[in-house]
Amino acid sequence: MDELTEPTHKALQPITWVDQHGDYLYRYAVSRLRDGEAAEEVVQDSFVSALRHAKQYAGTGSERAWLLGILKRKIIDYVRERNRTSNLGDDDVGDLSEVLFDENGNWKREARAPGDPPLDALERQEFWRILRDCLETLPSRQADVFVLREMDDQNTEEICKDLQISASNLWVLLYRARLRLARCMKSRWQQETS
Amino acid sequence: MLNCKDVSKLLSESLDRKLPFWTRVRLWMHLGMCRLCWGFRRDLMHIHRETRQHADEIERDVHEAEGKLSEESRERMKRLLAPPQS
Ligand SMILES: [Zn+2]
Repeated sequence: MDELTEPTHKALQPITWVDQHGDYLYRYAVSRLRDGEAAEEVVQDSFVSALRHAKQYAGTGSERAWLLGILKRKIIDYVRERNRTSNLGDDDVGDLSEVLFDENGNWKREARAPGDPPLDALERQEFWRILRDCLETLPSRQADVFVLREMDDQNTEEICKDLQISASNLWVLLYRARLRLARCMKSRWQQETS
Repeated sequence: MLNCKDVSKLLSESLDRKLPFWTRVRLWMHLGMCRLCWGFRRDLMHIHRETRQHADEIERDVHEAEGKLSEESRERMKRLLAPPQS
């Protein structure tokens, strides 16, 4: 709120960044990277980079929005780096479609739970708590593309370019991630309510 | 005919690219007959919408308490950001 009422042209105050924005940026980074140490690293990198490029701050938007923009770029760099070292083979482990469908491609008996409540019946806070738990169980590459695509709403070309994968590769990863998430969230929810 | 496995794949892909017209027709024909795929679609769409629309507000509100920079890194970052001593 107060960001809006401040004069439009103002100088940056790097000395106050940690207290003003540190925890906010950290939480944002944790939600995207699912790793506290990695989050601290990207926040620190962002501050250093912001300080170095302070001249580029136009002074029109809020300081926080500007820092968040830098952080987002750093998060993508981090994700790219950590996926460079993991190989694609790991992701086959996470292919639930082999488990959920029979040889004719029909849902297997155990995948059919009559009277399954749909996920949209979940309360918002519950939904996010379970989603977070389930994201942790995904192979890291699947979770990473899911976060970039769904939480950050990046377009597919950008993600392919950033992670240096083909479009069809990305579709497969997203499919596996979504299938696994949907199953995990459902069974987590059933466990809790039964 | 598409089977359920094909349909689950196409449903996911439809969130990332525009499917060819006849593929969409076959997809909807299957969905019209298959309760299980219909249920899967409902879950998939809910996850899709919810994550897009509310990711940022959730970071701000719900997880406020959990996420804090450690004291140690806080100090380290402050040193990095301090104006050079003259
Ligand atoms: Zn079906």
